[in-house]
Amino acid sequence: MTPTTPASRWAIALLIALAAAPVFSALAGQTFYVFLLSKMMILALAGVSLNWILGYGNMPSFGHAGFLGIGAYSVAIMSMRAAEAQGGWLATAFVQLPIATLAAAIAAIIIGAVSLRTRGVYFIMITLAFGQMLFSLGVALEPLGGDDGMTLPMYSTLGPADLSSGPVLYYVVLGLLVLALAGSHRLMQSPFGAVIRGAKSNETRLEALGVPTYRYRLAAFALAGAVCGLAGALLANQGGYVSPALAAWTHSAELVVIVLLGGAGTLFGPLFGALAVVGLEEILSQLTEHWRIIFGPILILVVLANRGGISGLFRARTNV
Amino acid sequence: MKADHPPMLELAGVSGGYGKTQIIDQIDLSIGAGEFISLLGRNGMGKTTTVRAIMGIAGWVHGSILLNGSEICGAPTHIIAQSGIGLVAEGRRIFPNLTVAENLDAFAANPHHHTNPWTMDRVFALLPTLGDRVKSMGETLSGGEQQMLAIGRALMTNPKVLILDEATEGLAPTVRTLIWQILAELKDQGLAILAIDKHLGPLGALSDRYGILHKGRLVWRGTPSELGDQPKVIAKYLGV
Repeated sequence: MTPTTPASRWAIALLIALAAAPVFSALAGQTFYVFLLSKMMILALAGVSLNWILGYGNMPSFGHAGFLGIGAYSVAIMSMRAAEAQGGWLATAFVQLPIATLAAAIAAIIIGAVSLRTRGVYFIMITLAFGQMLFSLGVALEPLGGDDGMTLPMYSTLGPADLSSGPVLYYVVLGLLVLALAGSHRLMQSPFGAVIRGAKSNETRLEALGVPTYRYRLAAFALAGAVCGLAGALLANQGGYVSPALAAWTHSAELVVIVLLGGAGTLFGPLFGALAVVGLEEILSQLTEHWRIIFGPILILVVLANRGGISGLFRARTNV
Repeated sequence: MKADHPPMLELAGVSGGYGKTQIIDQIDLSIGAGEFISLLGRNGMGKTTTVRAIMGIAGWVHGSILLNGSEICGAPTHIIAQSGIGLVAEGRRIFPNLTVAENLDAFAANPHHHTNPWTMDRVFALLPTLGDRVKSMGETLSGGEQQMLAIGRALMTNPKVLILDEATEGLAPTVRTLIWQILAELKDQGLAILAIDKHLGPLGALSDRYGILHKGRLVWRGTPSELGDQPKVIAKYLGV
């Protein structure tokens, strides 16, 4: 997708609006929206990473939230150590975010190396199983609160500020999301991206062209896990809290919904998807506590009516 | 084999199949540089399985397959492809969600390892229709254009041997003629070509030798003119 499609014009307008949003919410005294939009953008970042494998590469991982958990718990552990030492280098975001990303990348290489030997429904099952293993690991970690999770003793610091501040976190998340989207565009237009997209339609053919597809798919899986780990590190700071629920399969499913609803395999799909999911959840849950009864049919309708998700709606409208 | 065609691909006693089913049995075949060999035979006689056995995508394969003197039998498919076999598979199978340029460029192999590597410009010079559609998605191409793209994509891997499985199947006669012309040009450039096809007329003009597969065995070998002199062979193995 080039930045001139209708979907991308909407997406860029949306990103500009997001950049301005904290100013308006401060003026209106509605800081809650900064909190909500931060969460939305973090889920969009996780969605961007899942889109690489699920959308472009047809690797339907149902354990992707496991990497959110790894990222978040990495921050929690470092934050505990930093709190004991009353600060220090381990407290800064410049150390915490890269380490959380790296930890998720290593886990993704191990999980991917096993999972990518399978296809289709087996791949779904095995990634689901790995996700649940990470969830259970979180439950078993008694020093970190076990099932209940734990409150971060201190937030990742960023110079004189830290990520507990709504606007600071907000702009860090927005910056990383824009970077991830730009990176996503570059990556998928590169020969590497062409191989990943090609593997979606015909792997044997790629092999017959001399491409070791397994290695390419594993690299994509590791990269997706890494960026999702980064999202997890941000999510820990956004909520000030980590719990095994972050890695639960329902959370993985939410990420899949974000990608599918927004438009799998489209550059800005995860951004639209995250906005729709977080927005609808917020609006519908004010109407009724059984909001999923309304949310479910909406999801089914969008996916059935237009397999390109929200990005596809823009395209369909302009084609008429 | 003539002396001016050093062997590029040599199959000796190659058998293969899927699971417990054996499809091809003891195939011996040799193709030299600049040589054009056609495999003939009715449907289900093992032509495609022979190709898949060479590429390492059949279920199993025994025997010896030498590519430019190196054994490739049993090697992983991507290694076989990297060693110098370009495959234009049955049904074309271009990447529908990639552009023409991406279909060509993403799989270009080590250009610096070759004296005269295939580039996109060189492919477009050979296949001008593709040059006009660089940014089109694969799925938007016509059947003939997709076939050209499949050939161009195989060439970009800088093969020593080009294998075409039913390259003109389902194409309009004019497009078919165009593809035969392209293959003649590639043959003149010194590429070893193994083709599977059903159109004896144009194949006769191109092919140095024919091999006829029947029930998984190579039952007849000879030149196109020799086959022309043996209507009984044609009737027995190729007639409908």
